[in-house]
Amino acid sequence: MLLVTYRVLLTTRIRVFAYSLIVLTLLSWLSLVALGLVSSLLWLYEGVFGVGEGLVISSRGFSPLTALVYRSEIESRLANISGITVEYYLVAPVLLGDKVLVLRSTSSNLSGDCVLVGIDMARELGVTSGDYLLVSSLFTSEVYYLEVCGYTSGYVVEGSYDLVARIRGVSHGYYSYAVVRGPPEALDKALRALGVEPGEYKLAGLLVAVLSRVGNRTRAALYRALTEAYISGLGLQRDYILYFAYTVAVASVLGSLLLGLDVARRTSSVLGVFRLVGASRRHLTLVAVLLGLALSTIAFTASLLLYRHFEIFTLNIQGYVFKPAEPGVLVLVVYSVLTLLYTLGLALGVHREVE
Amino acid sequence: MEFLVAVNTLLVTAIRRGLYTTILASVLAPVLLLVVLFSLPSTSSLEYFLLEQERQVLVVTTTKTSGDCYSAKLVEGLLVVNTSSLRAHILLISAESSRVLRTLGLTRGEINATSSLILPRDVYTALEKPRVVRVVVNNTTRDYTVAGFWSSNIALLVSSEVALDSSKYACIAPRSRVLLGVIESAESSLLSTAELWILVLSFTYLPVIYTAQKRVVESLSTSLRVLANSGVGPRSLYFSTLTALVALHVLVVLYVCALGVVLVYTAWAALSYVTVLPPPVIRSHVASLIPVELVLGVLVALITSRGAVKCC
Repeated sequence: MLLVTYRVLLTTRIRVFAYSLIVLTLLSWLSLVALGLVSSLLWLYEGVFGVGEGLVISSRGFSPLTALVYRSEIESRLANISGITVEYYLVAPVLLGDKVLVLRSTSSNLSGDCVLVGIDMARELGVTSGDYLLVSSLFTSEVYYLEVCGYTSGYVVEGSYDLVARIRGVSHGYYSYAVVRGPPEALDKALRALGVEPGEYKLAGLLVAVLSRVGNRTRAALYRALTEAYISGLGLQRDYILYFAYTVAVASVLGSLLLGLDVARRTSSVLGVFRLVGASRRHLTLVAVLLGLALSTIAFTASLLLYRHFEIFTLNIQGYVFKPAEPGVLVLVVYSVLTLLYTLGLALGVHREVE
Repeated sequence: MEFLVAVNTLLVTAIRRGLYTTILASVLAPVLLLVVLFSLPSTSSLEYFLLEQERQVLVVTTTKTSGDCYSAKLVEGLLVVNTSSLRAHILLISAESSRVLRTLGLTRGEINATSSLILPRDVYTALEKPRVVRVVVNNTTRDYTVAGFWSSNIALLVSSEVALDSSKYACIAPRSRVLLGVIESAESSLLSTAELWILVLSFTYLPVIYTAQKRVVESLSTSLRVLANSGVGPRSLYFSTLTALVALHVLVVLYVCALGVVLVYTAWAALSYVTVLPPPVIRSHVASLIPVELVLGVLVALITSRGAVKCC
């Protein structure tokens, strides 16, 4: 009986269900886009620098582009820890016309003025190997001639350490950040050597230690991400931004409740027939719940496919194109709310119509 | 008169029966999100962090941007001192040399010459710290006074005597202004994406608004029948329903808009207790997008009002 009611409802009111399915898919997709874009903004520096794992050591500042750490100080602190590799990077923001490019030091052998331009950046700027870039340093007020000698990945421009240090206006030995990689036990020792307890932080994935000097003592604060470490200095808390994104995502699918109620109203004549042939109110409500679950699941799956394959919403900030981030577990928020609201609307509507 | 009475009857019935809540539910998400997204703190509040950035920055651009801009050109030339010569990239700027060099802090002494040359540090050392350098560019040779050196890898030649037919400009502006420009451009990019997102969301909500308005019309069927029986014609019935729906829509949209503003400021006040947060800024986008929401409601009402004629 349950299956028959289910099938008859679907087949006799296929247009109604198809229309609500399309609207639900679009709402769910918009909700995912909102969450995805905020997530990618919260991984801004990680995306630009290509840092995805390990312990990143930097110092307090406006941004990691302005922070500086002294290599020998970090080396002396990590000297007795075995099983780790440490990579040091110096980055400098440079102006190319009205655009800001990130220039990063590389261990590749590059002669004086030679730089490697990130493939995506080269496409954005329209430069090819052999072209030159006339960039301005934000730290020294000087203009530099950079010859494009090849390509690298991402949205950075890579040059020799000496060139980047000159443009950054720092003497030898200063870097913007260091990336420590190794097993969790070694990273634990590294953190303790920096003067911090890992506490609730997991020693897997990415961990950021931001050093600050108070008098003669160096303190370190731990964060889960590089962007989080620097936006917190501007009064923006990562968790609050995420809660805001969740609110936007949930609010954008609120309409699914009304859609559920509308579908129930449009199927009232069919429901009336079922009542006449003896179907109970509970039975019909159960069918509505099952229909709601099925439709919202199909709509959500379709929206996930849309999200993965259509990049309509991107953020282009200074030539750096942000695509909505891989949704991960955040999709569960959208799915749960969409399913709950639509099913609730449908069940309430059916319950009311049958009454 | 008949029209006004019909509108009045429909509006009073709708309000008494609480039908505005259906409309409210249909516009709540797009309007509330519109107000909230376009009331986030402005990045100009970051100006505080840039106050001490008064260093001047020299930027080569293809358009005249902020600050003082002069015609500029990058050329390859030969720097000759006695028997030594070096090939170098030279940035030519058509401007009064003393003004440009002093603004950039590249010279502290008095510059009397109309043209001055700044050499890369290594070139300056290699040429044994010359006072005058002969510059050969495109078979033209001229002697220039060396005003100093810098860390860059190109030479800078500032002269009011060179006329440049170039599409490039060298602009000098305070670093804070340049950085604020960058931050504002990032904010504008964020806002334009948010605008597109809100527009798509508003259009996606059209069926939801249609559903809500249709429900209102159906709930008003008794009143519509009474009006029809009292001699109100189908045309008048259609327009009075349309007017009532539009009035309800406008009122509800404005109410949600106001609610959004209150919510934003309440949230900011509450969060200010736990963190330092810049105040919200209600942007002009709200004023430009609210009419879109209103127009969408009117368009839907044009269709749903037909139900008033059909039902009676």
